[in-house]
Amino acid sequence: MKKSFVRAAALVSTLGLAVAPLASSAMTTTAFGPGDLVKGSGSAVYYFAVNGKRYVFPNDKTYFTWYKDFSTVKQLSDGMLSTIPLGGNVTYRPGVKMVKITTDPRTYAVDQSGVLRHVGSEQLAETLYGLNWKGLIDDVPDAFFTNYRVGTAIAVATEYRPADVTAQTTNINFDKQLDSTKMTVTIGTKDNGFVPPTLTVKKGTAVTWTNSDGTEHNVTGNGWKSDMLKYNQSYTYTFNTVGSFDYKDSNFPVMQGTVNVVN
Amino acid sequence: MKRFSSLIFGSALLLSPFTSLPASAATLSPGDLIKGPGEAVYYYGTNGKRLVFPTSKTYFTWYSDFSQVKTVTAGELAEIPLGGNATYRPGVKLVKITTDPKVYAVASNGTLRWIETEQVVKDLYGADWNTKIDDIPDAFFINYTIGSSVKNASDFQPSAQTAAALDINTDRALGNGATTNPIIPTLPTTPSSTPSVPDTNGSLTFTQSKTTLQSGDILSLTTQASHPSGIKRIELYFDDTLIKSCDVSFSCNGETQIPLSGTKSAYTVKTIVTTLSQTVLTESKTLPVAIDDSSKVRISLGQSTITPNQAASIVADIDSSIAILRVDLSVNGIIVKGCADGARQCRWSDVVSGANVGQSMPVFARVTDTLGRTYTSKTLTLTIGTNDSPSVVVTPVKTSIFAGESLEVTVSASDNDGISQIDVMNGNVVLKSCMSAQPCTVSTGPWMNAETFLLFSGAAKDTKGMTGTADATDVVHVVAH
Repeated sequence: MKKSFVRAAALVSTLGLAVAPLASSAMTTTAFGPGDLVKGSGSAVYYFAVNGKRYVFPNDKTYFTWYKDFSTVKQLSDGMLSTIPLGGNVTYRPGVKMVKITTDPRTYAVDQSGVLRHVGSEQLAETLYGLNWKGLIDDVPDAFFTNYRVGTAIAVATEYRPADVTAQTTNINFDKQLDSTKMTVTIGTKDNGFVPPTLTVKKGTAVTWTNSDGTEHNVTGNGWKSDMLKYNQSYTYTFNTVGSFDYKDSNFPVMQGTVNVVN
Repeated sequence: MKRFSSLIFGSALLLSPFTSLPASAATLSPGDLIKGPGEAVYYYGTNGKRLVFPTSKTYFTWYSDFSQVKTVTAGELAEIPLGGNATYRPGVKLVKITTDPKVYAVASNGTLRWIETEQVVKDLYGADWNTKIDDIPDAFFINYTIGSSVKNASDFQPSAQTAAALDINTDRALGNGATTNPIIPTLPTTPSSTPSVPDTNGSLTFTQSKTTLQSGDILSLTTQASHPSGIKRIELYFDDTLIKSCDVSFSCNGETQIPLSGTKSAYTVKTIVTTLSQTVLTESKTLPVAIDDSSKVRISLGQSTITPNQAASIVADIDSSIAILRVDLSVNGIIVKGCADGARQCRWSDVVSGANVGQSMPVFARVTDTLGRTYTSKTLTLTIGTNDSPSVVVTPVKTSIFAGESLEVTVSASDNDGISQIDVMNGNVVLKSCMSAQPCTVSTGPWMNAETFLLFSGAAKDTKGMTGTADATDVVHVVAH
């Protein structure tokens, strides 16, 4: 199993992350939410973030800094996956590895939000990452280096404790500094509906619906309703009471969704 | 759909193995194609950085072969920082991603415009339009920005788009410059849908990474200019000192540090653009120096007056919008504590040594973020007295309320001499005064204005008349319904 994955990943290394071939008739689900790993019938795995977008793992090395296997990946219908806009690329989990590019000898530690911090000496690298530090450097392909920003160099070892930085960056939402009090649902075609169809939010969360379809849609709840939304137009409603709130598109009642509001 | 995955490994463009190239170092000028000892080819941009071609298809929208590639040494290549990824030349191809059926036309500076109907695609790209679509790998889709959609064939002219994008420098400089320098997240990113034809007077856009300055900050200045005759030189000035000049470039970016010992209340930044026809365009702006960042870095003193040999305590709370590198707490010009664990709170408590009765000492917190920028709290005063001030604590029961809601705020105080009076305050307004040592609680509100912050503070008097305050220790956020 492991071997076959490695081969598959090498073949598609520029096309996003591949999972080991699963049973081809895997069941799809509509029950997914922010923080989940999702995929379609293809092999690429994405992180579904609180802003309603999917983030790409540019290669398997990036994925394995965050997850140790693919056991939590949820498979969506291709239509539903296509409705979710791409948000960007996932960067290395801070603290796990050091990175460099092939055409520059500088080695960097990864800090939150993909900020790279130059590790100026072998001695410093050894203090931070131990005797085996050379085995903890990954070459980031040039074309993915643009996902990172170069910050200040690490002056002294006490500024940056790899284990602490990793522990503090619990998930990709946090690493991307996404605001969990604002969530987005994407409106797809009549067939794909609202994505995700069910969303669970904390009381006080502002939910935004954005239309990604060329056809106009609306969001109609019990006592709240948007105008007709054209392509790329949005509507926001804040849920301040606990409960379960169903809504639909009044023009296409087959399109339905639910927001569960919890304390 | 044919994929190129067999062609490319490691995501940079490979030269075909039989291409022979001169191995000597070359004199570089902006617009050159360069490679090192490895096989990847880069575009040397006017910003002095090298752009990566993420796929061979990207390369071949701009060039038909590798005949123009110059070879530099590994050391020379390493000195040129990466400046991001090249995007498709406008108008040449249609693009999509594998997991979304939408087909996009490419406009200037990597702007993608969804073509809404098949009929419009046919009108623009001919009956064989579906042979002109490339799948862009998901991981490179982020190099593009999504613009407005193309509803009618008249919304987009592929050949005019291609013609306007003479080369990669032009393509990037004509549109928005957000992707040319990934270090500046604050550049405007309004998607431009059509190539802007330079007017006869030329135009210039001058942007600053900050609108207010603090000592120690890194300020980044960017100028983008266009003129029918071409641009000869762009100069960037800070405080009338030249910090960067760029020759034969449409854009120029420079960074400078705001002086640490500065006494000015504002600095002037300026750009001067000289065109090839000797016309001079100039723009200047005045950026005020911010005195504090007390909204983002809040500081409080346990007691504002202490007796000699009594311990003082400082608590600094840092706003979640700052990516903390380190927090320094300063008393009387000496950094007494450095917190480098990334936590949002930094505390210090110790005896202030060498202080005399009557002495007043400034106390502030300075936060450095991971990009090297600094944020400073407001400065409080710690005084050494013969009688210490009461220690005061403010506790609102909630950290956020809805507009129209009320809340309870409690102030408690303690002092060796006993407490005679406690006040609960909102700003300078005393909400309630209690004439006893018991905690003083007030129900306040309803607070109607959404998206505001309420600052509650407390004051207490000991039985000998010494006053202590707890200043804005807690902020309540009023959120809209």
